[in-house]
Amino acid sequence: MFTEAEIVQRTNKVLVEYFEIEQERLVPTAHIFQDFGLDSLDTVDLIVALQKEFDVTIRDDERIRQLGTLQSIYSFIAAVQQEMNTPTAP
Amino acid sequence: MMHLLFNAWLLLITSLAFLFLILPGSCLLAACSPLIPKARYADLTRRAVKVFGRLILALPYPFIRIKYRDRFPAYAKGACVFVCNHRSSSDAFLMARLSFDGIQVFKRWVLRIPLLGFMAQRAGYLCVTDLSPEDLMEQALSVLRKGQAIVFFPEGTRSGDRQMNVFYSAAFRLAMQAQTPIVPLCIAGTERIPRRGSLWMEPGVILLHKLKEWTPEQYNGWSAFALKNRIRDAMSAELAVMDKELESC
Repeated sequence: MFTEAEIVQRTNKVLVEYFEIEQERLVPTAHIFQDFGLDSLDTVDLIVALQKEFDVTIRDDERIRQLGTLQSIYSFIAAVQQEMNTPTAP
Repeated sequence: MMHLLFNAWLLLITSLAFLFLILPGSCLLAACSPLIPKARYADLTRRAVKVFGRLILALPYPFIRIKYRDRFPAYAKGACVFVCNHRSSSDAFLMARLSFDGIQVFKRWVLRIPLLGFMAQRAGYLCVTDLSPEDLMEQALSVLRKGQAIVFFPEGTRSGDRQMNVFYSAAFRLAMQAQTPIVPLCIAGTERIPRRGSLWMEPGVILLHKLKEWTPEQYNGWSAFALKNRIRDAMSAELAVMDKELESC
């Protein structure tokens, strides 16, 4: 399970390495569509890259539609991770 | 007063060209459609569109001059994806000035233009608003596999000024999937010819530059997002030079 700081660091790494977005632009309030210029197809690439980075399956998650700011991505990954590690009732 | 006279004159000669050349030519082509195989008919229609486009571009001369520069003429023609910046509704007509024959990707509003919409459909151009992203990709791939070029305006809409909008990535994904070159086309000067939301034409110079192609060998390994931004940056640098040149015209 990744800590909050690791989630931020790994998500930012994806954006820097795969999307070539400068590190200094990666502030939590930055919007992936308005500030970085991603479109809906780029978002699919982002989701695939995040899946790989965090070893999670989020492609079909409805919450993806609400992603906008970097903070919303960090929170989403944290929530997914939390759910994966919550033991299900027998 | 000069502008009023210019626009009146332009309206007159364009109407005459439309009535006596473009309309009869289109009617003749439409009448022949049952006799010609569909693929051949689309090809003929594209040729007609090119001839009509060149005529439309020639009419305002010398008040509106178009300067085309092919910065890398050595590029062999064939399957490739052309990406153009989009400042004005007249940008699509400029494709007639080029030596290649490309399938344009257009938005639904073009279909509302009398005759032009009809011709666009018959020429096999792809309406982005009528197709799902998957269907657009499939049909565009089919165009490229036939060895034809395809023309995108990746900003998605006209900027209306010298700013360039953010690029959508579909054109770049298409090229990556088909492993074809991407050729940037830079258009400057059309932002006033006509201005967005107006039919009012202003005399001036239009510059059209074809830049060096980006080959799969160059871009393989990059994300579509990175590719679109690198090409956008290259076009932006060229457009800055072109805009400066326009100021001195």
